[in-house]
Amino acid sequence: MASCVSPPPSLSSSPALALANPNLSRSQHLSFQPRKGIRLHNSPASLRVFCLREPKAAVVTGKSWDKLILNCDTPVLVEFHASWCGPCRMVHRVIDELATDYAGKLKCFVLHADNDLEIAEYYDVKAVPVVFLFKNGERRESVVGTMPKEFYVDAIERVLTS
Amino acid sequence: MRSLQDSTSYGGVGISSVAPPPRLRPRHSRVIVAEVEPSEKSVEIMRKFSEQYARKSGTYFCVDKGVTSVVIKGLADHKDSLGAPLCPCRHYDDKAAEAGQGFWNCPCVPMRERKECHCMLFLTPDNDFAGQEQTISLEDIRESTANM
Repeated sequence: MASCVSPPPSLSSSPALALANPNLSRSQHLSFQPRKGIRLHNSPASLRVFCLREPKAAVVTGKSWDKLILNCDTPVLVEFHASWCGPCRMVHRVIDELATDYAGKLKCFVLHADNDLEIAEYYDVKAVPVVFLFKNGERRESVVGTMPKEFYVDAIERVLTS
Repeated sequence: MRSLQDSTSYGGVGISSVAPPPRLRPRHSRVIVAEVEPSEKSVEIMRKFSEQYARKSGTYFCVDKGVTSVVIKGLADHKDSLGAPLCPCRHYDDKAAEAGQGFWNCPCVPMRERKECHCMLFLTPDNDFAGQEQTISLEDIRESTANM
């Protein structure tokens, strides 16, 4: 967890949390970034809209884990979240975008870590949000914390081309 | 005349009574169960604590106050259920034991030592997501978490 907040030497070489790097927003296109200016006023409304709309990433549980994640024909992305985790909601938005962007190539799911302790413990989940990418039933990539969209895209591309 | 208008305006628009009630989040019942609202008293205690600690540590709330609000409610929820404001952005094998141990009780050790809050409650000014405020009202919290 500490590692995800220490300033990264560079985006490409470190999985460290990009939020901690003040230079990132100028050079990288953070998916949240364009709305930054207006979100101060609009955040309650935008959050409300976000929470009410049908999620694009489906819910996976311990029961459906094997079928939906391990035995899936296409690569799979899973975001582990918890009930009152604020940054998880920001990552949800990115995952929803990614579910649309990669429709047909990648399936996106969310798992509530508190409801499925066994899965969370099996994959040694400590901090949320955390995003895992699976291919052929194996975990290939993991991204801890709240990262720019590009960071998830890079990880997805690596998995798709591997 | 009035009654005629009334009858015309209502005539033929048989809505609601036949339409099935909207089902919001039908598959998420377990998630909803887990998100019982924390007590107002604890939310207020954690709100005040957050404002004070932001000032004391020279950190700021997220530009998206929705993030701040959710985390404050998460701390309040843990205060209610565990007696301590355990960080809501971690997964624990045993929450009660963890709250007793104290490492992840807010402000957690990484925050106190290095100003690292991966829950994005307290952000240093150089952080991309840091806003300019160290205050958040109960109304802000209510509004931004109204439809959770």
